[in-house]
Amino acid sequence: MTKLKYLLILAVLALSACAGRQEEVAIHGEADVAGHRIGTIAGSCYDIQLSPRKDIKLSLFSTVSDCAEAVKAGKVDALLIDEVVFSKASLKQTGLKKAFRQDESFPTAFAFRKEDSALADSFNQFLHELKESGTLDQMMEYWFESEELRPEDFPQVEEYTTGEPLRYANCETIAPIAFLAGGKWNGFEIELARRFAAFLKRPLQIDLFEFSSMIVGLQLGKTDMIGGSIFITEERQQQVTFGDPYYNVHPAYFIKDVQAVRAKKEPLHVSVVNAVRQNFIVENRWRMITDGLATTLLITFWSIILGSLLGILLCMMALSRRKGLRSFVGLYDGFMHGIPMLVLLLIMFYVVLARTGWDARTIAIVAFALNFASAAGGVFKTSVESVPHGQTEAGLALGFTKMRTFLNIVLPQAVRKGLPLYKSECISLLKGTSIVGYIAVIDVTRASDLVRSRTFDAFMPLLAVTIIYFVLAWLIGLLLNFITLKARR
Amino acid sequence: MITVNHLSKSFRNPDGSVITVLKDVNCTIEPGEVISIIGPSGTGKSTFLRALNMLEPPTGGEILFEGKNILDKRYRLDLMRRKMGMVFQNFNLFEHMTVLDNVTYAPVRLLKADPAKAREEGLELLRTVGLVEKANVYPSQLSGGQKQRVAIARALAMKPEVILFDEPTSALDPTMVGEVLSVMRQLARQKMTMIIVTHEMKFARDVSTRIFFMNEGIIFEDGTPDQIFNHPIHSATRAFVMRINKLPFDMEDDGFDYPGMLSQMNQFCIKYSIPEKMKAVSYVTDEMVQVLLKNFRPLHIVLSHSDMTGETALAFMIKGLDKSPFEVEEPDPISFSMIQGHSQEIIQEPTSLGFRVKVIL
Repeated sequence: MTKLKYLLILAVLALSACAGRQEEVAIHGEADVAGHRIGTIAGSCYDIQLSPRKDIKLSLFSTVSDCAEAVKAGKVDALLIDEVVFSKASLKQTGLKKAFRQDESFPTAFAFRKEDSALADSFNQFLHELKESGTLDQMMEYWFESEELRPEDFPQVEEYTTGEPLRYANCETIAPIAFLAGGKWNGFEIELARRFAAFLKRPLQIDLFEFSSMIVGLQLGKTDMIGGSIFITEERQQQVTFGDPYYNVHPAYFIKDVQAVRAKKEPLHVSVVNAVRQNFIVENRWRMITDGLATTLLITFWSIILGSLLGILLCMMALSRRKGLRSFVGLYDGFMHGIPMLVLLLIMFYVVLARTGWDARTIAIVAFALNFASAAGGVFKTSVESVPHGQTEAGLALGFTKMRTFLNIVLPQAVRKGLPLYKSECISLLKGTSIVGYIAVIDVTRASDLVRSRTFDAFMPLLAVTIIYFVLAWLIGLLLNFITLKARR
Repeated sequence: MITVNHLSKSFRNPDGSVITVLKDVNCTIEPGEVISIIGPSGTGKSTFLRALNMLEPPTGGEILFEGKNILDKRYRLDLMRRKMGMVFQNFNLFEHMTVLDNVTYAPVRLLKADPAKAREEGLELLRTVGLVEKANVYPSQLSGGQKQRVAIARALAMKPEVILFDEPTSALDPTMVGEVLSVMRQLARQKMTMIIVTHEMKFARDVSTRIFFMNEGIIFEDGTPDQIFNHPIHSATRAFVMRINKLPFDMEDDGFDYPGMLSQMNQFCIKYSIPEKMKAVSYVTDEMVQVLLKNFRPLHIVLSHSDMTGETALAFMIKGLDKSPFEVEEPDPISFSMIQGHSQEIIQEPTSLGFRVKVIL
């Protein structure tokens, strides 16, 4: 019952956080920007443009939807981003409105590896044909001008299933550029990429990267082509080859639409039902959560299995008579304790295993298994050492060999003593996997981000994820208890 | 059955120094013998016992079991240990198993005994140690004495040829010693071969066929209980079996702290529960040191008391003297008669070091 109480408290806190300020921010032109709190995307051109300014307070976010939510919650006053990032439909949903747009515009294009100029050339040829036929204009009209974007109206593009896939990475999760709907990627850039893949007669593989790590990912060969409203700048041109621009983008400031938010006030039960419908039912958004859940479980399961096996090895080395092995374990543990899990994950993805060509989930499993091995090895060692030496002596004296004494007499007692610790390490691991979004893996946490970026509602997706982790942790506990009970028989 | 030749064991301290626990142990043990190993603490009794089943591998010598050297690297220790049971000071019962499982686990796992049959035999063994109604209880619910009886049943379940007992009653509350010793007596009557490290002198005397007195890393004296307890050859054995406690002093010259010695003697009397002898000890010491032997220095004085016989004695040794000091110098008659009044007997004897006057109080 106490657990339920905590959940209720959490819910109340989250609801109270939704009530923001109700005054409209007065930004109508470039002159009004000074003195305000402005949000934008880390590593973007806007970041570079705004960072030197001392007269504003700049907050950096990793996704547009996080930034939009900050505006909605009154944590920042305005958001500077591509004008086209918000379609009319998504503006309505976010409760934001455009304050004004800047006059200058930037050419925007897909980027390719320097060594891969052939791919860039065929893209330019493809884009040329697309412009000539007028298809590009139609696409822009549909995605940017439609009042509502419904999955059943999305343009269909021929898709190939055989051959080497064209790997395309994007950083947007927001309509109309690139977004997940009904478990499938859609949007202007997605359609463009899809048409290009069809042009090449190759299947398309779509990955979701952090904006700040896209160019590195491309250079390391994690993907073949990156998009997501990338402006062509001189600095970037030194690192990658840009295709021809497909449109020019005007930056624009967006602020909270106080009137729209006020108009939306509904009775509590109606708003809850609507929120559930919006977040989980519409476009089968629950599918994103369940797919993410499957990924979380996969990573957790294999990390526990591999990490435990490695942990057994480390434990044996730590208990060995050879000093060299023992000090190796000491070093290994020291390293694993001293480095944040996220940093380890990034090092594995971008440095150590960068050129293996393994998919991000495998790399995540390797990183988590390496880290878990240290924790599990420690738990095993403490448990084995907690069994008094007299038990070993009694076993030997009865005529068991050293090995059988360990397996039949020491181990069963060690398992009993170590299980609670091991359980909590497993649960820590489960919760720790929520950072895999950083290396383009869509787990349950990242999935909730994606839902959030479609619905601009923080509460429901986060509540769902909270409950999911809570239940999973409980299930892991039950499962481990069950396994040990079975093993004892 | 077991022959031990020149067995030695030394440990290396972390600081590099070497401690020799067993110097040179030799003995032969025949089937049906009950051997008690006695001796002061720290003389290697337990180390020797634990070397016999290689829980504490010796550093030198050999142990022959059924004619084969068990120190041989290829020797199957596990097979040997099945025939050599062991009962520990701290019981070492398997805490995660019931009492019955503790008893049947090894026979079922190692001797491939039929579980149902092993269960029956286990219950029978528990009956003989008087714990059949505790069969399904976990060891944590038993008293120390009960645990040790279970441990004995566990060792017996392997049908060993010999059982080693490593101070089986030392960890027990005094009220529980009896129940364990009674089970061991019963075993001895059944001609079980037993080797027992113990501090229970009465038990050792009553039950053993042979006694090893260990001292300073060797078997100092090996004999029947009658020999060891009633006619020991070595004085160290005698001192040990009589449980003689000693308080020695060396009086070299006049700078000696005489009042300090008297005070220590009083404390000794209190410690060994003989406060009634405090007065006599002071009188006799005073008269001897200050009057009768005042011209004899250096003087070696030993106050001793035997827990076993209750005898308290004060010995005065004059080094290098070969005849009685009372022949050298006429004793003061008043002093002498005072000493006689406070003592049972005055023994005058020459020794290899000098002449000794021993006053039994």
